Amino acid sequence: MSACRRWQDRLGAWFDGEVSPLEAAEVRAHLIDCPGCRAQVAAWRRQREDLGLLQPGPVPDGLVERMALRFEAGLAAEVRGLDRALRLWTAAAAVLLLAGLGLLLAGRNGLLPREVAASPPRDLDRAVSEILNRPEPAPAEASEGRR
Amino acid sequence: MSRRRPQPPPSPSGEAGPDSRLLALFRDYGARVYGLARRCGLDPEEAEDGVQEVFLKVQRRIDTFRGEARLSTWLYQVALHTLLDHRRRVSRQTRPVPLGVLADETGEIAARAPGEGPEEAAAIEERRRLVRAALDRLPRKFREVLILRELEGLSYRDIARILGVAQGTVESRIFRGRARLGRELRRLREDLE
Repeated sequence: MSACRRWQDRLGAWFDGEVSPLEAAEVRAHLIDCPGCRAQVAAWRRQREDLGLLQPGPVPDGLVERMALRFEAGLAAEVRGLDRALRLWTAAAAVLLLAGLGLLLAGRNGLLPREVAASPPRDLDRAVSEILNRPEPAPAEASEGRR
Repeated sequence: MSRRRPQPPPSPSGEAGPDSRLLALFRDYGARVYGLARRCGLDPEEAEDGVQEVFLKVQRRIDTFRGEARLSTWLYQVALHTLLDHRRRVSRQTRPVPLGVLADETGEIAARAPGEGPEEAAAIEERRRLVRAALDRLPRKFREVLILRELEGLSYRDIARILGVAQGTVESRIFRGRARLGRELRRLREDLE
């Protein structure tokens, strides 16, 4: 048996004590005649009882003061420090990721220093300096290279 | 409450000086926020961490408090979101004890009421866990209205202010939330049988 559709809103508001005394009297009068709405209210009452089990006990003595002291003592700074460190690590990871992606794309497009000829002018200085700084080849390889 | 800029974090040495107004706020509202944390499903230790997190956020966001709402309403907004997020993170990290495992096996049994035997206490604890599990299964919009209405005992008007929605929306969410919770409870009880 279900509650009357047209009474549902008022029934819920009445159950929560959100109606005027006049409306409350109307709902009560309706409940006398309507077993469906009575069943609905009974179900809500059981549910309220169930939810009541989740009510915690009173706040232990001295707890708020202890928590306030903890807050005051600098946990805030510590947690914020961790937060800042996390943000720094995230930023560093993002930079590394971008750098990696950049290198990957540069490699694919032949922009790495070994392809000096294909390098755009802005990379030229860096590429030349890299070639100049390469270790000397072994003598045999060097002569082969000259031939 | 007048607007003010957030203060630097308190230093352990006390040199910078903790923000006395923030600490006063903590002492005024700490118990309520702790209670809300417990009602959101955090255990005592997690609730303490949750309270710290809430007031850290308050410290960071105090600039956003415009004074249009009551301070308690604004604090509830910050606290509710922070604590429900905290609860979600904690739930992900810890493996829930399956329903049906006796509470006294898990050591989770709450303090017994006078005259309450161990079996009775275990049954109540089991029922509590079932209700919590059912509530946790609800979409957040239903869970928050039911916590604020049924556990915090707030009026529709206050809930509407905290959530920033119309009063009619609160009414409708409570109605639908109750129906949904009823279904979840039935489903969980059937699973147990």
